[in-house]
Amino acid sequence: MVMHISDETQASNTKLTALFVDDDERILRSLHMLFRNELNVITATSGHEAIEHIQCTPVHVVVSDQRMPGMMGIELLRNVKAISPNTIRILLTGYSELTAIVGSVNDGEIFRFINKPWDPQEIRKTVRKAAEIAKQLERTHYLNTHPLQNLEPNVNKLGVLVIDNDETTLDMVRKIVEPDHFVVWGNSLDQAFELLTCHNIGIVVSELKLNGHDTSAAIKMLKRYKPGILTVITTSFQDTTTLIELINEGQVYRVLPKPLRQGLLEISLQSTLRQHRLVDRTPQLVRRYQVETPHNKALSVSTRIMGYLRKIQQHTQNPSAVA
Amino acid sequence: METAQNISSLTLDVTPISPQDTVSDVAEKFLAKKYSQFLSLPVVDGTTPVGIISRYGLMNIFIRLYGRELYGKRPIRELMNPRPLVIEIDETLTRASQQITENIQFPVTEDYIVVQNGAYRGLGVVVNLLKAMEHQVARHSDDLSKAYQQLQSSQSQLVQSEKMASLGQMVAGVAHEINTPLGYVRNNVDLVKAVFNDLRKLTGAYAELSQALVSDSISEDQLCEIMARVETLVRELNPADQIKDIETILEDTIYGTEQISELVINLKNFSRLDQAKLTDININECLESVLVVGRNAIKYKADVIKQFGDIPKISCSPSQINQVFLNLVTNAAQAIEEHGQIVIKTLADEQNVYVVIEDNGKGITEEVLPKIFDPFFTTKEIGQGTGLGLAISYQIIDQHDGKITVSSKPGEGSRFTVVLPQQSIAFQKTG
Repeated sequence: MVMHISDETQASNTKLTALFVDDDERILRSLHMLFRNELNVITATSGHEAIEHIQCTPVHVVVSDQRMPGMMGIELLRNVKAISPNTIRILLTGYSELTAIVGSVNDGEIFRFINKPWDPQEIRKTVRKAAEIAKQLERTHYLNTHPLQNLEPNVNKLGVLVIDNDETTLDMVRKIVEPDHFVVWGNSLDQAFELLTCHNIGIVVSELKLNGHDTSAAIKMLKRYKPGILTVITTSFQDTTTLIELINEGQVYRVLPKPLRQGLLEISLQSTLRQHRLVDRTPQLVRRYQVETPHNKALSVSTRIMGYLRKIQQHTQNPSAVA
Repeated sequence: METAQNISSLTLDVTPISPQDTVSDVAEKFLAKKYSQFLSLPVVDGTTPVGIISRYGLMNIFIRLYGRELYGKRPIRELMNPRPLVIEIDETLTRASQQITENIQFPVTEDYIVVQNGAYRGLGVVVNLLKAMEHQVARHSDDLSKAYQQLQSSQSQLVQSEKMASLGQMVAGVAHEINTPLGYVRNNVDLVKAVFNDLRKLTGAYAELSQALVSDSISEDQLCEIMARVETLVRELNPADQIKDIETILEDTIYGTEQISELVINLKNFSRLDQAKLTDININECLESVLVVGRNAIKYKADVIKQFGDIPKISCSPSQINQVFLNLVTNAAQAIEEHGQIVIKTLADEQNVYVVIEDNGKGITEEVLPKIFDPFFTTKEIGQGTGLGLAISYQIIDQHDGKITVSSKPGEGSRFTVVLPQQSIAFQKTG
């Protein structure tokens, strides 16, 4: 189903629409009062009720609680993505549940996670930003139903960078991606980032732990400097805070648990490659993957990596400069 | 740690007597100092032991009138015991002592002969064997007692870790429960603040207006200007509606803080960490507390139907009893696959209080049923649960002199019945 707003309706609707879903009415009353001045606020106390709304009204942002009777939050957001892909999806969580979060990244493509209790100023900023992005996506008349049919056969070879100490990941990715695309291997962050400056990399498949160090800071930074890159994280890590940050600050596209399963990796990579072609064709879509700047701590990456990042940014702005 | 001893360490090197030696020769030998500890001496032909002669035996001869004269020159072969106790040198203490007790004659007048593959090696004194055996037993019982202590300590560690695990789960659930009211309370205070600011602007404007109305120095135009400002503000800020909304918001906020308060109180009640302290308490109260604290686990899975009877207070350890009921209730919720019902019934007769927790979940199969109270037995996946919940619950109820039973039908549900005596004798004893 395609959500399509006519130009006249757009002109008259200066306020964007947000749908809040939570089984607790008091939460909904509170959120309603918070946003009613700047947005059209719709509320629903269950997933099913929410879907009814989505089907009849154009909704720019949906903010849903995870724990609800009947349909859980991530299931609702998965359905929202199917019905109205331009609706930006935000999950409100009262506690961290790893499977839910990982599931939501992979299936529902969540824009942001917000923890309960939220900071009123923060949630306003986030919802506002989400609404803006939704509005821009709307304008691009982006069709999601049969993306492959609308795309020309892929002429350009995409670069896939694998960042992992384990060579088996590299082998698995090669098997799936070659010969249509090329694969390069970074066994260290320095090596990986150097490769990013010399090749046109579209997709990064990265481990969270490299040589004993945490790569998430570098990955988040990369997203800021080259937002068009889609990242697939592979990890045996079980830390939900890290994953939430990777979504909020790094907008990782997929999270795959280790040990990697060939089938799952294949499906994820194919999906990532497709999405990249889509984003490539419709640059405005990149906004959907906009990331949050962490306010409480600075991202620490080495000066060398910063150097590479600046180069990458230059190349992104000047594509003819890349090999 | 020594391995099982054998009798070689107890074997004494004794020069044997030859069967041809005379009784008098043997008698002389017995008088020698080096043989003073021996009850008897071995008679060996070449390397084969052929008999044993005891002091006692000799004494019998010499007691008789003219005994020495009559028998002194006879070869000892004629007077020895031709069937001595013979034990192989590599025999364990235990086996050796077994053989000896089976075959020894009373009164004990002989030692035992030690051989290696049939060849004479020495003599063994029975009393020494006894001492060695005693040491061995003492060591074993020492080992046993250490092992028992270790077992007790690891059991209590396990009980503690199960408690911590279930406490942890419960705390996570309660934390989530608290985050929801905290969410809207926080937001609402912010909203009230914003409205408060608006109203302050408004009252400021009204104050200006009322001052202007009583002022002598103000002009007509100025007054109109001020009035217009007030009107604009009223239009913009819409105080009437805001005030109405805030009234509702404030009600919500108070409700929210009450929710938080209730959760905290129940948490406190639930985990009364004063261990086995006995209190007189009504089990219905315990169950209410358990239902609040366990709400997160039950909320979306089951409707809880309470059928609380009029039951008397009983003496028990509330924190432990609460742990049992929380375990049963969360098990019930977990047994339900999509959505179901949990019925909690309490009743009493003259002697006991009964708590029945019944669910319409997937039930327990006949083959699993007898194992459910076994420690570490679980039907959950690895990593989910410790498998100790029911085992510990069983123990707690047992310590309260009560009973916990279960009946179940796969596909229909399960029913757990906890019986607690009104007068707990066991507890009274230990206090």
